[in-house]
Amino acid sequence: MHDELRDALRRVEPPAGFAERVLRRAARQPAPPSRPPVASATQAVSRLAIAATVVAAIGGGLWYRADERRKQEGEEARRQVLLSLSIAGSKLQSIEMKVNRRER
Amino acid sequence: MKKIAVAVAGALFVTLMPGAAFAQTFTIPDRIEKLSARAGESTNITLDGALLQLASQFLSGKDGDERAVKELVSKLKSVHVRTFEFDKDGEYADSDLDPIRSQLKAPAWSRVVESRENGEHTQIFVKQDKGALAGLVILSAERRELSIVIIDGAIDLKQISKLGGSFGIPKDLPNAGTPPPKESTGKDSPE
Amino acid sequence: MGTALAAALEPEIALDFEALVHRHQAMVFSIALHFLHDRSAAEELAQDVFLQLHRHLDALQSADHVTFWLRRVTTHRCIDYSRRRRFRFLRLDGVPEPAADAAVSDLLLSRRLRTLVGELPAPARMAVVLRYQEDLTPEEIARVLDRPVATVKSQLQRALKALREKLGKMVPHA
Repeated sequence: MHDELRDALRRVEPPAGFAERVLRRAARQPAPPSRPPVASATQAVSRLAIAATVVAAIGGGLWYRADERRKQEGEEARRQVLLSLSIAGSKLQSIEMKVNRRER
Repeated sequence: MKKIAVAVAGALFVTLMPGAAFAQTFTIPDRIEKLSARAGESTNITLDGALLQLASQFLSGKDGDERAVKELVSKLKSVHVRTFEFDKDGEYADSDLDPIRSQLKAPAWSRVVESRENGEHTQIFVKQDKGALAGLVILSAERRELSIVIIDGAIDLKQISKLGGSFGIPKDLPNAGTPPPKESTGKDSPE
Repeated sequence: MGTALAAALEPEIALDFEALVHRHQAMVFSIALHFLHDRSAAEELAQDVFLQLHRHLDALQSADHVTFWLRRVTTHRCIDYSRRRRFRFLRLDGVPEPAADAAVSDLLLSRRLRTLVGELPAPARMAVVLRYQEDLTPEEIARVLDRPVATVKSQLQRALKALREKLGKMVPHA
């Protein structure tokens, strides 16, 4: 059964052009801030050492985690708002249908 | 003295009545909350003013549907949603909703829809404040599904009703299929 | 510091959005497809997941983080979608058939299994998809879905039992 399930639930590619459609829609959104690339391991180590000092000095790491946490909470709140209003909307439509049906 | 005491008490009573300037605090009874243990699927959402404000910051002001939600949310004080789907009949009683109904009393609240059909009992209550809608409660009790929606704040029923077909959700119609995909030109066609 | 050092010495992490879409599109689309059993809804949902990724790319720290994030967001969106859908349609057309040289009986079995998985209750259904499509352990599934490990194990056990029973009724000697 395990092998059969793995077989049945194998990953499949999305329809052709999926990536292009996503990229087109993403292009219409504001671009996220870009990261500076790390050119080599040596540069990475020295940059990291400097960055770690600064971060430790000003507690920047804490700020970053708090900001990330806030983003996660905000996204979760957004998700819940959308879900709750769509449930309310669906219920109202359903009730309206029943009332209209009875009035005919 | 007695007359003055009664008048003051009356004034206090009016001030403290739901529907006055401040938000009402709803209590969802424990008996309802515990239904999630018996439900195959359930939804539990509680959003107070702070969370609604936070959510609003993350709603897109550019996307048409989310912009409408953002506007709607800006006027809300709280949202509570509980939905339960059961695998069999009889997992709850209609009377389990009485503690909620008891919080929706006149004159602040009025029941605008009451429907009983095929074992389903549906009620819609609205609250009015200075002639405008300031609250909405939907109680939908079906044989295997219970839904409770409590929205406190200035609402537009038409706008909320439209949202039932948004965000990729089919409108609540018997023969609704799934919504057309955005920009999809998939080669595979349905059988 | 040790972890950060190791991360800095990893091959340059391609957090380039276009590359991420190409790398992960099959994973995201397939989770949605096998859960929703509806190709067009799966594509729409998958597009939305990537757009959300585009908005949050700066908060993601590594390739592993991206994979975890994508699985988590996709599964949560799928479960939300299924809750909002008033009427559930189990369309058999949504899933492409495997390669033409597979035995007919294997084809039918796979198709039947996908349909049966689509009929499982949503929480168990998602656990099965993550277990057998993504090869995640129950602990990893629990982290993605924000559920206790014991709950995930129990859901998987019950789901497999239900699938065996239903399959047994279709194919008595399976």
